[in-house]
Amino acid sequence: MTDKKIVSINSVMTMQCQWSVGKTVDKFLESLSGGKITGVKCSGCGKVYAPPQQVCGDCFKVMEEWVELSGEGEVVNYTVAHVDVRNKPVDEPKVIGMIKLDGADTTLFGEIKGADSGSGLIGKKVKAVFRDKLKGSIRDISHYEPV
Amino acid sequence: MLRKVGIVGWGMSEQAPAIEDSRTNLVYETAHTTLEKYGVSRDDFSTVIMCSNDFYDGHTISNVFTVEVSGAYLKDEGKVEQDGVHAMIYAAMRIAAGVHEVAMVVAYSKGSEFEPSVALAAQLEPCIDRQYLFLNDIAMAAFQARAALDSRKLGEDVLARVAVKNLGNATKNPVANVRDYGVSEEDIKGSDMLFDPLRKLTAYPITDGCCVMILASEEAVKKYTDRPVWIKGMGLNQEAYHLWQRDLTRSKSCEAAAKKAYDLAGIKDPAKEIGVAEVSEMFAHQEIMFTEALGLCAEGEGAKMLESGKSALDGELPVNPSGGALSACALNATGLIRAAEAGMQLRGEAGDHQVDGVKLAVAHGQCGPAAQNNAVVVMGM
Repeated sequence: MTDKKIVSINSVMTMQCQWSVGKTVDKFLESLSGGKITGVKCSGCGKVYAPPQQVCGDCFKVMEEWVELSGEGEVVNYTVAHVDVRNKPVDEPKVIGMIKLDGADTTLFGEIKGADSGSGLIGKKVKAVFRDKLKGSIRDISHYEPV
Repeated sequence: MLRKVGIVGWGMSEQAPAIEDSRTNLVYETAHTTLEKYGVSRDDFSTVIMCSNDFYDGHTISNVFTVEVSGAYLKDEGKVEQDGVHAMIYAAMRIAAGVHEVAMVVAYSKGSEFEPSVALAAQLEPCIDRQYLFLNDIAMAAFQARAALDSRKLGEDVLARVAVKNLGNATKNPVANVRDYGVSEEDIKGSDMLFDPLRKLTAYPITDGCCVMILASEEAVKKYTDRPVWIKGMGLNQEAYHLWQRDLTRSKSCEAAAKKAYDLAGIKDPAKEIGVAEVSEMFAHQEIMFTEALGLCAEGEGAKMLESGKSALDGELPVNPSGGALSACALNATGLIRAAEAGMQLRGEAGDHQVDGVKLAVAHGQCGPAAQNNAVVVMGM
């Protein structure tokens, strides 16, 4: 037996993936590019989905009624990210919330700026702040800040 | 169940931060050693269910490379990408249905050779959730942790107390060698914060490991052992992907999987009838949620069960005497290791972490963001 370390080989190919978002999410992204947040309403149960999805899970119905949301809502849950997605420490921890927009039954994720984390954050009223240049992506919403 | 399913035995590799060997040889060594130990020949089993994951392995349909080393060559083989308990249940179904007499279950991953949080971030919905660029598996679990703590009016200290119990138990488990287990509650509370309230030592450690299990029909199991462990009940369940769609304060899918398993096993009061539990608490708060969901204590009393010492190694109903997923967590293999540990407890083979007089045990596996999917097996002698 030798003490030679067993060789590891790195992957030599990477592959970019694409996802067609479909008609429903396409419309949502289009509204974001105009600085607006929209959702779809189920004709069965009346639930409003933002981000939208094509079919209501409860009712198994295609949703086609669009509603515009004000961009204001409340924080229902949060974490403070001390690391990035690769779990590497970040210089400035970010407060990330689950935000339920007024008129929606779902939540969006988003960074919250200008509010302390802690028990007082849950239930706090916040509003979406858009970036200057809009590209039709969920990242068009820069962050949320207290109303 | 149509036919009784017995467990001949199991085997596991060391669970370590990095095992310097190929995935295939890790599978071969574990499978071969286990087959030899129980006197099962390659020709004796006719089906193999693998549990691995293409993302973790960096291969498409990665089980093409584990055919020979698992003994699956020219046999009926299938793969699940969930947890080893799911693979165990699928293999048990094949035997219960009368399609096979002896089955092999193999689960592994080498966390040292990929980035678990990146691979698990790739479970997230791609067009919106992945585009935020700040969500991964730990972030998703952190929202669940917040909901679990707040709804029970618990502080973050309880997370450290789950970890100190489980890491302490792991000091008695010779195959768990992933992190420093001799840490204090203060060390855990002072460990690096990842996604608040989850810290490095209240989240699973990146692990390499493999576990195998051999299942057999009532007739066939007698050839290999006079002490079979029986699968008395099993259940699988999953809830919505979206966190907003779930009640994050509890695990309804684990409750439903447990109900199915207990019904099949004829268990009416798990808190009284179960002697030991091995659960896949990848994050500390989940042990509190799962002990409740598995009916090992009353709803909302998971923390009380911990604080009272009931779930300690020397307690009335020990939870994770092996050290659980916080001590070692080779993704895919984690739940199957829980089932193997439950089997060791039933057979009295658990060494320094043996619990006295176990007649019935429950083992649990999970997968998906914030434990979206749960699998439960009830085992007994």
